[in-house]
Amino acid sequence: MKTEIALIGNPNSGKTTLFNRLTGKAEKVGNWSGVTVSAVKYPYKKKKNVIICDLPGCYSFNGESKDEIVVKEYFNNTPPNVIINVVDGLNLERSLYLTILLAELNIPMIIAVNMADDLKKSGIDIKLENLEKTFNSPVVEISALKNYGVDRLIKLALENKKAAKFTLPSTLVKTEEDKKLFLRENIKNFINKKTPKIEKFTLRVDKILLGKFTAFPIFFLVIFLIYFLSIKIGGLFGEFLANNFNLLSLGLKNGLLKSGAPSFLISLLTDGVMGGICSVLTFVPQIILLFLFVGILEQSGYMSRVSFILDRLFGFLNLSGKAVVPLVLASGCTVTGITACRAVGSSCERRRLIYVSPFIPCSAKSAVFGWFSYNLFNGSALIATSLYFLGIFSAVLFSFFSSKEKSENSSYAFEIPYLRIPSFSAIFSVVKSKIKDFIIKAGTIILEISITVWALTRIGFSGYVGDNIEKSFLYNIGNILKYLFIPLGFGTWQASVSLISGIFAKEAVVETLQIIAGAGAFSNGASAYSFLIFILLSPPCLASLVTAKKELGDNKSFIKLIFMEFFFAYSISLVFYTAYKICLFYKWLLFIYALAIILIIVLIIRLSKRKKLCKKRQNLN
Amino acid sequence: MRLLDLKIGEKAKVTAINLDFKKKRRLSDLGLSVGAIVEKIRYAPLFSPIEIKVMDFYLSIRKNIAKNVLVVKIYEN
Repeated sequence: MKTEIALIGNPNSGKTTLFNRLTGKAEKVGNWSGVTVSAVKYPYKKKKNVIICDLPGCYSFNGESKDEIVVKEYFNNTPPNVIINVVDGLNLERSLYLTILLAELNIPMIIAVNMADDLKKSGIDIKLENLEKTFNSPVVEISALKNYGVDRLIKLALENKKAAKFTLPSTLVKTEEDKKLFLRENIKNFINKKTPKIEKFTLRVDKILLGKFTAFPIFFLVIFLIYFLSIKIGGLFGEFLANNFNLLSLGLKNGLLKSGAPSFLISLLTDGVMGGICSVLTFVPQIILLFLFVGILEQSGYMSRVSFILDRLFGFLNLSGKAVVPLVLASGCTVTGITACRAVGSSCERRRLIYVSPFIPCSAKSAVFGWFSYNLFNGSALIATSLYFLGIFSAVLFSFFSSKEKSENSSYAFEIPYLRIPSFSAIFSVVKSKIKDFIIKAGTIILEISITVWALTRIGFSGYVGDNIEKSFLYNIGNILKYLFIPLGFGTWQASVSLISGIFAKEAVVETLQIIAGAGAFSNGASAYSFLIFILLSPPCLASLVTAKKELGDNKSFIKLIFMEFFFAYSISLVFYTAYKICLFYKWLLFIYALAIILIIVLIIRLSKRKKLCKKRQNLN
Repeated sequence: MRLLDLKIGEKAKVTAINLDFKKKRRLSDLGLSVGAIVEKIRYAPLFSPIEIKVMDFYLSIRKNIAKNVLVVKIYEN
């Protein structure tokens, strides 16, 4: 006989932390609403016939937001046996509104007052008996974070047979406003109000974090730290791992040679397989650190403050300040950036962010820039920096133009939570699961590609197998594709072939170039730079594409993504290389060229405005 | 007067919210409904949004929303 217990409460009340405690899973916890986006069911770890269901946080279930629809449907179609209403003890008045609505469902309910540890520390007393009487349900104080009261909670939940009800005459308290007025006037019966220490602490620290002159410097410092620590230090660790791994692979090679294995097999294992594993390894430390830092930011509550500070800038792009999160994450790995888009408000906004995230150079792309910079441009820092700016500028441009579609944006009003010390155990479990995800998903794909590219370079038509690259399949493919890229300045088979391998993982571009012929694929600096522009702006690696498709949900948006980015990348590279050629030919012509480009852009804007006007007229008719 | 015009540190009671239904509901979810007591805490460094305290928590509200929330000042005894 299965018993289903539903966890329901306001966003950020700690439902998911409680869920993780009860089930032993590690669902993602975030300090913004919308992290739990659908009902998640899992058996209680101590009794397998008890199912716990984690619902998305909501304030009521009469609204039209996605969270509320999920909750409403859940109660209509598959109501639970017992409800656990997770209530944030520090936000009692607001939380109890949902409690009233739940009590009216007349399902057995337990009210779990969470954050009990913070309450005790602040000397706040919850009057449990009054709550029990008003809602005809047992009330338990818990701390999901500290694992306090949780067992007692479940015991009560399984024993309680009383149907909850809101024990006030329904003539007095009918409408939403009546209920809220009731709570406002009677809240003193449920809680003795003292300013909690956590609020005082938050107010003090916020003077610095959100102060007129200190907010931005601190923000830049924080971003710089995250970046420096995860990308620079993480990069160093990655290199360290890669070097040791290379030594290992060399050892293997020698061992195999001695044992007389066929050179085909040796090459497959060392170049193909080990090479593939190596490229994934270099990545892992950076991603671990990035997730760790962003986790700390989310849990401590700083992320919402970032939204508060940046809202004005992002607002004009019709994005919320929270969009900074996926965009920052995208600089580590586009896959993380795209996944983080989940937490941003409306689906329209989410879609636009997903389109735009790949423009931010991820660590793979910056690895490619770094390689080019080192091998072709004498280590010039200008290359990577200019490309970063181009990426960010393209992202802004794209969002600006796509913001013309009327989209729902809920960042006009949001909560700034109290500052909390992050729970490291929660962060670690999230990091662990994300890394596992990454290594398995991206890792296997990259591995497959390495082997495929390796195979394509060694196998050719009529069964040729050997080391002469020019006889392989890859060469043939490259020879056909190169024509496409001649106007962009890199119409060589080496460049086209590296781009193909780049579809799977951007670092593979460098690997392929190294296998094929190093830097000999580009005739001059401009040709190489044009290539880099194309890499920056073209559709991201397969892992990101797979993630994007999952997050976007439908095939149409996904195909739109690929086409738009491909054409955009092609156009910008074309513009750049043509400008270079013109510059070589006659510098003066550059002005006319620039004017022509501006004219074309204005024309495109005019055309799209006219199309929208036509659509509007059609809609009105 | 408008919520926007409230000075930092001043408290007021919400008398009307002149916005569409969707926005009103969302604000109400967050605690900002007619009859609620608000206190203005600060402006963002770029002057928008503003931070207010409602019930027991702190909200970020855009200026163009604050323009449409009418309040009546409360004087502490």
